[in-house]
Amino acid sequence: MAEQPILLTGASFWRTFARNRIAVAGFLMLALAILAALFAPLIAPYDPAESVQITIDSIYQKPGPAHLLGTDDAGKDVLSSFIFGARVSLIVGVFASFISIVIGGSLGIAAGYFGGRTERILMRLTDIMLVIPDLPLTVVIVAITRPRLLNIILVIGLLGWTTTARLVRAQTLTLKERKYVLRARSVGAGHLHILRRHIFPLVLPLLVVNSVLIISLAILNESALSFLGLSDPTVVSWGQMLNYAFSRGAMSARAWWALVTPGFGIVWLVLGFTLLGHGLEQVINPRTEWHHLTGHPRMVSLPTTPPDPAP
Amino acid sequence: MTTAPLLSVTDLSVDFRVPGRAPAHAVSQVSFTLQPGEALGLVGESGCGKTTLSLALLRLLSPQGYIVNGSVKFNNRELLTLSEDEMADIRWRHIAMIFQGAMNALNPVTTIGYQIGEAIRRHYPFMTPVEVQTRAAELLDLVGIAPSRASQYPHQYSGGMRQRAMIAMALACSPEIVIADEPTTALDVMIQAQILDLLDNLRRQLGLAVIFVTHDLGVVAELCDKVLVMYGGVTAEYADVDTIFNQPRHPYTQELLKAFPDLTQPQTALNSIPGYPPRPDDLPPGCRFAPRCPHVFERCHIQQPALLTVSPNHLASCHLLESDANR
Amino acid sequence: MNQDTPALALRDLHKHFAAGRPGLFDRHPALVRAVDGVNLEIGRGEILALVGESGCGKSTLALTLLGLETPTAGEIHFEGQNVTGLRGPALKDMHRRIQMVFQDPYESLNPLMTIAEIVAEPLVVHRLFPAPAERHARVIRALEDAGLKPADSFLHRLPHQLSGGQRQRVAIAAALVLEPTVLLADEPVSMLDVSIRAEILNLLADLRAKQGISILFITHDFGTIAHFADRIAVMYLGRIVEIGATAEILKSPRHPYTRALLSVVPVPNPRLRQKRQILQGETPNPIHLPSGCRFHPRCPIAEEHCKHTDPPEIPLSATHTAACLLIDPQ
Repeated sequence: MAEQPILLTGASFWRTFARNRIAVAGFLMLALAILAALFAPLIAPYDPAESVQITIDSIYQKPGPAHLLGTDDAGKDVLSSFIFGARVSLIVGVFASFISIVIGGSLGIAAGYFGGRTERILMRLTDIMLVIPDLPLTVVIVAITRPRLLNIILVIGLLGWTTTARLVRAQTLTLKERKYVLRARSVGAGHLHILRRHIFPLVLPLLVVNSVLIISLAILNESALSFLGLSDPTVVSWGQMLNYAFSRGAMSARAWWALVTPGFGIVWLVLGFTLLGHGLEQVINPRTEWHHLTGHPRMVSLPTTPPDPAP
Repeated sequence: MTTAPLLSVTDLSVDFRVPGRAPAHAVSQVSFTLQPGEALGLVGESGCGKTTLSLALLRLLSPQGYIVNGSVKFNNRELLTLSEDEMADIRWRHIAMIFQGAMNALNPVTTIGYQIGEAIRRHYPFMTPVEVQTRAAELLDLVGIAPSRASQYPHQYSGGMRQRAMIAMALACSPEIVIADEPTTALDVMIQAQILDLLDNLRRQLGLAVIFVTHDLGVVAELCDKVLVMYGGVTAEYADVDTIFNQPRHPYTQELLKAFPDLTQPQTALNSIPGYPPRPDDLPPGCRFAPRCPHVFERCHIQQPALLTVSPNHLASCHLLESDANR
Repeated sequence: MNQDTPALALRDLHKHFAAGRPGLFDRHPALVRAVDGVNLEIGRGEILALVGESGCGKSTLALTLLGLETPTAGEIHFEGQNVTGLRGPALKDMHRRIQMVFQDPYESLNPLMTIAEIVAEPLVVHRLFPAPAERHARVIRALEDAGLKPADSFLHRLPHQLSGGQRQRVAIAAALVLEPTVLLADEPVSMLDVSIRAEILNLLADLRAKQGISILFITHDFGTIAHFADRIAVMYLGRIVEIGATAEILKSPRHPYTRALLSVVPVPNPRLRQKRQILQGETPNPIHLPSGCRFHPRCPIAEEHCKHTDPPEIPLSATHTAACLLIDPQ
């Protein structure tokens, strides 16, 4: 039996991952969504971009053999829009989260590692960003800058880094007190070396978990924007589908399929990313499962000797 | 020995079971007795099972730990078959424990006085708040902390003070037995001496029986009446303190003593035992000390030695002692 | 260079910290006098033990020697050359010659780096031997010097796959790879099992014998160093209170603090249960140093004038000095 490593790498990571039901469930949900988005043109029965001759009958058609999930207010196939809509959600989620993680990660590491004035300024900035209500600000900025996919990604990404920055800073604060950082310094290592070899690799797992969780937030934000009418009109998205259905009489037409379908898509993706994120967290940081025989006792409880009088 | 033992442990075995892995035999067939007011040293290195054994006495093992065999009798009452409620009543009121690492065992957000009070209230729910407070102050005084410091938080205490507070907490319900798990590790020598002195005085003053769980032979030599040396989860040697230090029979005890620095004999160089202690999930098939033993012979690798009575009240588990035991 | 110049010499070294940041109303915060006038010489190939309780300033002293803290006053001479306040490349070069081994081998190795990476790290930092073959050879040699044989079998393992003793050997190998002349060892065995402590001590003694490395061994435990150190220096509240050859300190300690420390070292013999001289209280806060002799509030034999006069270092033999007013030099 191998000792429980502090961080899992390679094969042991996948073994632990495969045993974690939450992580696997999230992973499978997302794999399905990603496949659907990738092969949307092949799967979708119709092309949502194609214009349809609207007749009275073609609006809000009930689900049937021609349209498995019925049609929307413009007579378009809901299933096809639903499948194509996954693309927007995933693209916005992934890219916006990437922007957030890069910003939050670097600010958090810089604040935690350098401390002092750098930390005070960066953390004040973070606090300010944290108290500004996200959604109204997003709405205002997107409204001003024109709702295009790129703008939406940028705005969501640029506003979503605060929690990451705080988490990473906290992690960095503990990492920089590790004895191996002191050892590296005693050898003469500079900041860049320490950040690259001793801080970043140990912050990385946190960043991965966090980015997965942030994707779900970004997807929710995008849907909210679209629902409020601030969607890129050139592409189909789930929020936009909801917005049209909501504002164009799906309720009064009792066309539940036009509302439930995009709503289900949003829930599916958000739930998938959240499950995967929490699952990964458990896999990467399995402290709760340790007892004093699987790990070395030192890993479980460190005797905290009071430091010498240095402040 | 004429009086009935206060605590009598017979053939206690503890396994750790993690699904998908071989069970780890952390403690195997360990027996000892403890008389009222007696101090027993439970000695061994990391992973030898001494902490597991002490937790098993209180039935405080983690969920993977199972007591697979044996009996623990306190005042002739079997503890292993008690219900969880009955056991909770025994804990602290009769057998208390001072945990390793006083820094982590105290709650940082409540005062020391409150935490001591908590232990009292848990077992004496009908005490009035004033009585609890008085008792907490008494306890602090007993361990050498000014009662006025009851309203302070753990971070305002030094390492030595926190260890004292832990001792006060263990004494809250006037137990008959206190188990002290590495009570002085990570403390400075002078503070160590203060704490050991305190424990020794309390033992005499209150007639406590104390089990010192430690790797520090110095602590044992200074404070204990009897010693149980553990290695790889089994009893290596069990005798009174003078025998252990002056006529040790088990090779492990002998080697361990040579590895411990003795300022009264500055000429003798320190000895080390080659190799490392076995892991409880990967025990050697024969004698557990065989891979490191200087007197090892063929049989040691194949057969586990029995615990032999080498002289009255002196037990050791080594094949080499068979002739003595049969005599 | 003269063989008689000490490897390391400290002259009246001070390191004071501000206790907290300067506040709005309090522009001059109190000073923590962690190191407060230390004079010390470590000869070439000598093992000097620095004994003291936590809070006595021994760790700060080590960090100052490593150049990680700048001394407030005083000088550090390395092989006869004043290296106080070196900066930049000169400091980095100094780092090569003074290396440190830390207390906790479970904490001082990065869990994600292989043993090869850990031992090679100092070479990477100093851009030494960039050729892979040469670097590999250096790492192998350092591991073997630290007693990890066959070195090949350790290269690709991670710290958690090693035992505590092996980990400490890796930490020693990572210090040796730069071929230092001075090794600072901060309680290098206190976290290890008793049965393997001697191995690590013997390894350090071997390094001194074979490579002539000077060792400053920082500890709070007299027992560990009794067989091992050439000289012992006892530190209390930022200052050396007694220094002498190991036999002198162990057999005829003169400072009351040294005597008390020695008396509380547990003796592994129940027949010799001794009357210990336990000092009450704890090392006081180095912010408010006591007046006069800094040990007087805890001193069992303190007299009135100890409260007012800071004791000078009184020479007792060629190698033995103690700072106590109550010592009669004869």
